[in-house]
Amino acid sequence: MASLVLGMDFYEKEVYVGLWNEEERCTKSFNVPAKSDGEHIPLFVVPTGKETFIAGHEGIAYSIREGCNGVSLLYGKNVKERVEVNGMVFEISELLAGFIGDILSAVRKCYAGAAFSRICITGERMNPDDSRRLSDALLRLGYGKERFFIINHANAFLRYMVSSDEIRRRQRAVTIDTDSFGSEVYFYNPADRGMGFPAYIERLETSPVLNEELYTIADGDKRKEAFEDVVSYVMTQDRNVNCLYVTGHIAEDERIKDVLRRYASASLKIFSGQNLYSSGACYRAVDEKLKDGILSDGEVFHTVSVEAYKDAVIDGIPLIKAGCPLDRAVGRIYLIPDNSDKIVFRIRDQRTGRSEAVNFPLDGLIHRENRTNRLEITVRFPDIKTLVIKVRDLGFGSIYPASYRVSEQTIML
Amino acid sequence: MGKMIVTEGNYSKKPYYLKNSKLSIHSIEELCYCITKNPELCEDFLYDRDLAAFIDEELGLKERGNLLADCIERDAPLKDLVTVCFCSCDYLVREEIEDFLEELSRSERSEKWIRIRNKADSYLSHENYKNAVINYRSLVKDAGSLGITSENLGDIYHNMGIAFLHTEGFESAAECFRLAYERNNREESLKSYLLSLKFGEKNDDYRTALDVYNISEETTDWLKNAVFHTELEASDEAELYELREAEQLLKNGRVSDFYDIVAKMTEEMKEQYRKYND
Repeated sequence: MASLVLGMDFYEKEVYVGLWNEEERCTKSFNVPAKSDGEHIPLFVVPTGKETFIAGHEGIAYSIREGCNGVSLLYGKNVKERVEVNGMVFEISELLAGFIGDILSAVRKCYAGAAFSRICITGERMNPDDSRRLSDALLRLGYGKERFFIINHANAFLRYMVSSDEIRRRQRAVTIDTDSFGSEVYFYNPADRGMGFPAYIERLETSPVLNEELYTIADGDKRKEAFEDVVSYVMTQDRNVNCLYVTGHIAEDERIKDVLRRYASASLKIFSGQNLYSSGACYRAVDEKLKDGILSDGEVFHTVSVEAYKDAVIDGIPLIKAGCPLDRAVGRIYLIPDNSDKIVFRIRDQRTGRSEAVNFPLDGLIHRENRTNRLEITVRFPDIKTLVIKVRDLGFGSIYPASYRVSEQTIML
Repeated sequence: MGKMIVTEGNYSKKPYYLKNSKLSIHSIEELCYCITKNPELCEDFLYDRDLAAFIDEELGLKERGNLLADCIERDAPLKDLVTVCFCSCDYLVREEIEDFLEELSRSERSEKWIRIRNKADSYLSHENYKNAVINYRSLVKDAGSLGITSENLGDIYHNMGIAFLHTEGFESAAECFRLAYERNNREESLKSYLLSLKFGEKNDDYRTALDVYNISEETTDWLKNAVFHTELEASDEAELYELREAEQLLKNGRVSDFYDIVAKMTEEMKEQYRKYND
């Protein structure tokens, strides 16, 4: 039976779900639309038994019960601990449990009765009471405290940034999230090496210019102007920002994309899209799964990375990540040595957290002028305790033909 | 400190031939290598829309390909194009890029004839004899106005002679080497002149030149030796016999037989080419 890792982002009118995709080592996200598209409606369950199938962004069908919307309770102005539905009094956590249970069973249906090994829920402006209610709901559903996490949006954003290689390398990132409350702006900063967590949220911007409810402005041109004000305000706050991420409904507006295109340059990379927080929550759950060393049979225990130069930084480039199924545990990368006669691999045991460096000498493989040796590096796990590293000389195009010499090293872990 | 560079983009199975050079590339790193090794020629191959398309489609670096295409479209300075290529991967570090751009600026500031000569020399080393001759000719023609000294002009004639050896033949080459020697007084040019006469079967001119230029016995021995060894090497080439035979037929007016031999040789070459490419 498959074991899934799930992230959920609770908005007031809808829920976004992120699922960990083991094959591509990334999350797949989609939204679960709510029935209401107007004002907040209280949670209730219509016991009709009628089911509606809704196709998510990734083409996965979801079945949720009609009229089921638990989110408004979390963000309603006068949240009560108990509510009356159809003459019966319910604890909020009980109703929330019903709502979350519906989503989980819908996902489970798509994955042939899969179990959930880790669940992470995030929400906008999550306060301690919200966290407690959600915790109670998950406990009611039978999930032990070690299996779920409740984090705020800032934390989910941080996880997303850290897990997204492309954005992480840009180093100074900012996210603009536009919703019905206005715009929230997070400034992300990578931390110094050696710190426990590789990044932190530098600050959360709260300026009056951000308060306007952008996506509720009906006039497209006015909405565009208001958004331009927000972007220019944000960019003046930190001139070193080299990555801008725009999320929320507004990210799909073509006029807004026009504005973003104008700002995009070689020094400022721009991403726009939905589902950032659900993905971030999912990454959080994945991290937790690996940190605890909860690895199933047939999954590798070690993360193998190679020290290499990319985007003007020498960094550990992961080739195989712990938790990867053994039959797919193969990593490949192409490297060009620059005055280097060895390749340094780092092997980290996810169970113990211990890391060791393995030097792979390039004797006999480098025999041309500097930087004209293209090497193919393949790492694989023939079994859970054996790592094989293979290096092959591919020459340098038509300039220097390949010798196809191969050097191999087997490491017993 | 040594490092391992992660390659960027795809590795194209199909090579891309850089314009006006004999260079071909499969990856963005190879392009950077070719630029650094051939600064005089990069102007020729970087302003090529097909190269931008290759980077976009074959190497999978869409953004960089588009950026290069934009630069070509607005006729941006060469430095911009070089920067776009260098910044597409991690092949060179920032300091190396800056040094290269500085060198490029220095070269742009150098005298015009030096720029043309360097370019012509690059064409020559890339066996692009046609373009090399065009550039050498322009230098010879405007030598006075460009302020080329007699010695430098002699060197230019010498290199033009080398290009002529591959295009127009021994006679034109010999004339260039003679003009070169009269200006630069280099033994290398003189020897090349005499060898060209010898190989061009201008024996009378060869003997006259030996007298005119007071050639020492030592040099004469060297020339005999060089001719002997060159012919020995060439005799291994079956094609050379056939070519000489064809040449003789043409001289004797047997045009139809000449074309038969040429057609047979061409067919053999095609066959060989097909074999290599299968």
